[in-house]
Amino acid sequence: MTKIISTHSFRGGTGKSNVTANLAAVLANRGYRVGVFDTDIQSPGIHVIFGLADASVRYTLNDYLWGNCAIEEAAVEVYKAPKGGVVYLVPSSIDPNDIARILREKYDASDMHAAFRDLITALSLDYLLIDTHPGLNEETLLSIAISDSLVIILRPDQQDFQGTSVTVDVARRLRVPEVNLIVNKVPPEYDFADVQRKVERAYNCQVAALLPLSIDLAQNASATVFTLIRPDHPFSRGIESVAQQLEADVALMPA
Amino acid sequence: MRQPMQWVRGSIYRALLLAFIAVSVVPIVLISYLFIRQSMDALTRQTEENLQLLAASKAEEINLKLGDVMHSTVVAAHLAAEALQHPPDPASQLARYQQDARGIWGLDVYYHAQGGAAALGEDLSNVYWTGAAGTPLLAADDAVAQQILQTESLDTVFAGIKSVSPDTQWIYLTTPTGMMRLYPWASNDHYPDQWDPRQIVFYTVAEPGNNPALQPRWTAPYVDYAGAGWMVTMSVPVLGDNGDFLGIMSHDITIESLKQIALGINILDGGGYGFLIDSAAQVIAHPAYQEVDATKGTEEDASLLAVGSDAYRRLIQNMVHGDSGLGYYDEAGGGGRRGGSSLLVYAPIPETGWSLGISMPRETVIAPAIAMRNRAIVITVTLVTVAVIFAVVLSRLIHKPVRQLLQGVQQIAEDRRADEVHVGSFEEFDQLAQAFNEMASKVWERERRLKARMAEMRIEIDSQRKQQQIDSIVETDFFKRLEANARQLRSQVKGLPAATD
Ligand SMILES: Nc1ncnc2c1ncn2[C@@H]1O[C@H](COP(=O)(O)OP(=O)(O)O)[C@@H](O)[C@H]1O
Ligand SMILES: [Mg+2]
Repeated sequence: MTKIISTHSFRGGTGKSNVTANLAAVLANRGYRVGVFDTDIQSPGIHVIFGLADASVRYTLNDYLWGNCAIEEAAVEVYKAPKGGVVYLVPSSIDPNDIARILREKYDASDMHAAFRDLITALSLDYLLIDTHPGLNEETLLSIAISDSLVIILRPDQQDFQGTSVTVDVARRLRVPEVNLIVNKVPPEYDFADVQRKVERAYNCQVAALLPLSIDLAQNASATVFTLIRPDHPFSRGIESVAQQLEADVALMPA
Repeated sequence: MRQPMQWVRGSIYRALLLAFIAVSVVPIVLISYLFIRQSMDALTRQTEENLQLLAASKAEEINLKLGDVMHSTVVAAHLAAEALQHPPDPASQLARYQQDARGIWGLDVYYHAQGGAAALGEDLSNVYWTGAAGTPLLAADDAVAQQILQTESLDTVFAGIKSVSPDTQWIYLTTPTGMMRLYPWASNDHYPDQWDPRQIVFYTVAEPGNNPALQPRWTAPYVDYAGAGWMVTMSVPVLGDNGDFLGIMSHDITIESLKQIALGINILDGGGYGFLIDSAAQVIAHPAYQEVDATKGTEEDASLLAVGSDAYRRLIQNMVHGDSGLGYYDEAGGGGRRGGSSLLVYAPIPETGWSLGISMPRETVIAPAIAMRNRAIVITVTLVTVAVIFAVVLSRLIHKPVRQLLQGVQQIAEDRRADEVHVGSFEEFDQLAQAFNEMASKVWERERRLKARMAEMRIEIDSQRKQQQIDSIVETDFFKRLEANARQLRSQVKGLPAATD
């Protein structure tokens, strides 16, 4: 049974793409076949983290939505784990014309769902990770709706607190089976246990990890999958623990 | 087990302490050791030299006394030669000399004239000669009678010598005829029958047959026949103007005063003693041989070559050879009056071939050196103690700031406010402490601000706005449709059979 996980945040720049990419790599390291969709069509970014050069991209998610290719043709193997796990990425086009066209023409939501379904089948995926566009537009709501697990990423600031409360409520209405919060960019001086307690109480929702605001990560500037080069870093250990919790939750799911 | 180097490197305090001790205590101990060794040797040598000087001066004192005796005897011998080469004084009366019942000629009539009733042989005589028995009177031209008369003048010479020489016991002339003239006068009854002075050592020692060079000769010490104790005799050949042998002039002295010179050596409260031996190693004077005096005539047993350890005997041998010097010996084997190692210094008495020795316990010899060493040890220990205290204080002084800073850092690590570090010593440490204090207070200030901010981290959610935002989403037809189909959509995506809520 494939587990579909959406990562979402109310605002941009919370570290959504980074968390998604690292999570994918960690799951692959645990031996899973992982597919990643960059559904942030308006501001794609995750391909950079996987080091995907423009030249090596033949088809994008855009091409699929326009009927130019099969979805597996748009999937690129971006990481192969030593233990046999693998990460496939379906990137969004970064061509400004393509972005403008897709925003103008819209696309059929069921096409996106078909893309998920086809890729799951074609590549026999264990996990499907969807990197969403921030905010709650219709496309994002569609992604959230079909997710087994929603990971909401927030920073410890008032705007994120407000926005996250809306997302959590909406996800509950859509009966997403699992909702996890990740508090990212927590200043290291903070009392992590205290922050976790406060966040869990405010949203009545499990916090999967608190990831420290890290100069190392900022310097990495999304250039590589950080976990793979710094597996012992507190950020990496946080991601590892998220992966562990998501993995455990699989067992709770009905067959 | 920890290695010693690790133990030292484990703590700056230990390393400093060890370093300071190494640069102070080690040289002190080394220098003291060398100084003590050098000075002990020097002081011991000094004591040995002093003792040698003492022995030499005492030997010289004895030698001078013996020399005086020799000279007076030589003078007497000259006067005797003079007398024997001239005719007797016409006033001299041969009749004064008579023979006693044993046939011994002596001065008798003279005495009768003086004292009256005394029997022959009971009176004192200045002459001894054993002649043929029954001869009533010597012939005037008899050689012996001539000599008796010729030498009468010597009575006053002898008396003069004895009056200035307290050690002089007898002074006497013996001629080759066996006539003996002696002072002070003595009773001839003491002499055994047929006693012949020419057979006795005072004569034989110097007679030409035994003394071809005709030199003055000393006898070995002996016990006086007449009961005057230990004696020694100087014998000088009496020679005529043409070198004829005319007799032997002998001079007996008691050696009591010479013994006292040796026995009187009493240095350092009886720690050492002096002794005197003759050229055959026979004891003349020795504190351990006082009984030799008491039992006169046992001197045969009193040779120091027959007693003591090998080392002791070697030294006595040197003394017999007339050497001067010193050496250590062990008295355990005897030859001394106490056990243990002793020093023997000795000096010769050339006049008689005797030797004077001074024995001294080794401890006494090295006592000044030991005293000096003990003082040096006390000074060294004091210096070492001061150095160690100094090392400890200095190490602490350097170590203390490090410890204080460490404590401050630990306090910061434990989220406490670090105590201000105050360092009285070393300007570098002072600067470090100031820098640390500044840093600590800044860290504390920042911590405080952060904590304050964290305490402020409140999650405030504007529920009205939230509701508006939610409503604007959920009240759309799109959302309502989505809400209704969500589960089904999820199944579809996974390729599962459609399910309904
Ligand atoms: N824990 C972190 N500490 C420091 N920088 C972070 C951290 N997480 C993410 N970033 C940085 O934040 C920026 C935005 O991250 P990204 O993953 O692109 O966010 P999003 O996809 O939500 O816009 C990137 O430059 C990334 O390197
Ligand atoms: Mg992104």
